[in-house]
Amino acid sequence: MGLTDEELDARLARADRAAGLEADAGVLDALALDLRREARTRRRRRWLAAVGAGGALLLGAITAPAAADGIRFLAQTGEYGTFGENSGEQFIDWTAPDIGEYIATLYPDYLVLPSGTTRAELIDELVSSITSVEEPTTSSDDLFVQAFEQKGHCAWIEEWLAADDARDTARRDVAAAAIDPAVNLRNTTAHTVDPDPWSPAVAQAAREGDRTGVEFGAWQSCGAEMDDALREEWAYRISGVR
Amino acid sequence: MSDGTATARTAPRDGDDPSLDAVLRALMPDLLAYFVRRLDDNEDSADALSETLLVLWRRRSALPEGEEDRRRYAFGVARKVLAAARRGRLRRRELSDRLHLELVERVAPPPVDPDLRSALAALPDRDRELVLLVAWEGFGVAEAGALIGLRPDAARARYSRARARLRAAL
Repeated sequence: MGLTDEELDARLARADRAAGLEADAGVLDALALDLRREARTRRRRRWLAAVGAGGALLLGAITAPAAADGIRFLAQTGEYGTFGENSGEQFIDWTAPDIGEYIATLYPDYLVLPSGTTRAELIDELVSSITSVEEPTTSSDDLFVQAFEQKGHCAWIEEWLAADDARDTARRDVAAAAIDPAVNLRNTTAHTVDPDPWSPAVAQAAREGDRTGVEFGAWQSCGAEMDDALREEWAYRISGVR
Repeated sequence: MSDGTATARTAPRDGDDPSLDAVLRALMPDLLAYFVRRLDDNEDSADALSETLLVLWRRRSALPEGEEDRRRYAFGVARKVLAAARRGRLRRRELSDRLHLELVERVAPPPVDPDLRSALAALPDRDRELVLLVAWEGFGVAEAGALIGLRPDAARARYSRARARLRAAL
């Protein structure tokens, strides 16, 4: 024989662990005050350099949500940039518990990767570098797309250098074609205010079999070591500036 | 390589609005109870509350005007934070330290009603949440349904079916 509605309500009420819970008002007041302090802490961060790309960071203004707040991920703050390269871009909270899931959705499907490098690998690497950040940090969502592009670009630079070591010209040619900024650096190129002279030059060096130029690309974009004199000489040859 | 990247910034001026503190403060007891009811670990409840409040603060410009709408919105955020807490994805926050202690002292262990617990566990997740949002959080059936993505008629049908299953099981 089953319960009546009233009996069921009574059982549910008795099972309520928070019934009668009254947290100390002083504790909650203090939490409200600390909340403002923590939420207001913002830090600028040269993070993209750490994941493989050199780059100046631009301080942007923000405004209220441009659209209705359809919450899909807690990492989405609903605040949008209104200035320069951040314009129209939503700011993302790095410390949100679902930041990893959100970043995975930003992986650009147009990325072309060399054999042996996978989409899952790139996502794991980027998520690990983000989730190790402890302090409150926000950035535009474009930053993550560009970080993925950068990782794909660097994978091809490594591929080119490995093919060159192996004297495999066919493999090197495939890598050279993919080093072209139009292949994997679409978002980066589209959102760069000051034109970047180095990426096209590195791509041309890759096509022409100029190893020093590709090593310059590895140094500049991917954190590889490079002899100072060689680097300066190559940069001078390209830019005419010492 | 490029100079073109985006990044961190300052908070908007409306964050200085003192009424926001009062709005969030008013939501705290209900949100805390919500987490205490659903998370076994009191410290997780404190962290989940802090996380929810931080999200609400950052989305302050999207907070609805009306009290009831605001409460529903806050519980929408809380549900997502709860899912993250259950996956063990919440950060331990210094912000919650005092509340950790407070909850350890005040919250009793869950009442022992293994039959009810089993009957609730046997319900589909959304049905169980629907029943509990009504019974414990005091939402109407349609409101609770909206929180978990159900249309009012579907929510009423599921609610009625779920309670019938509970009554029969107990």
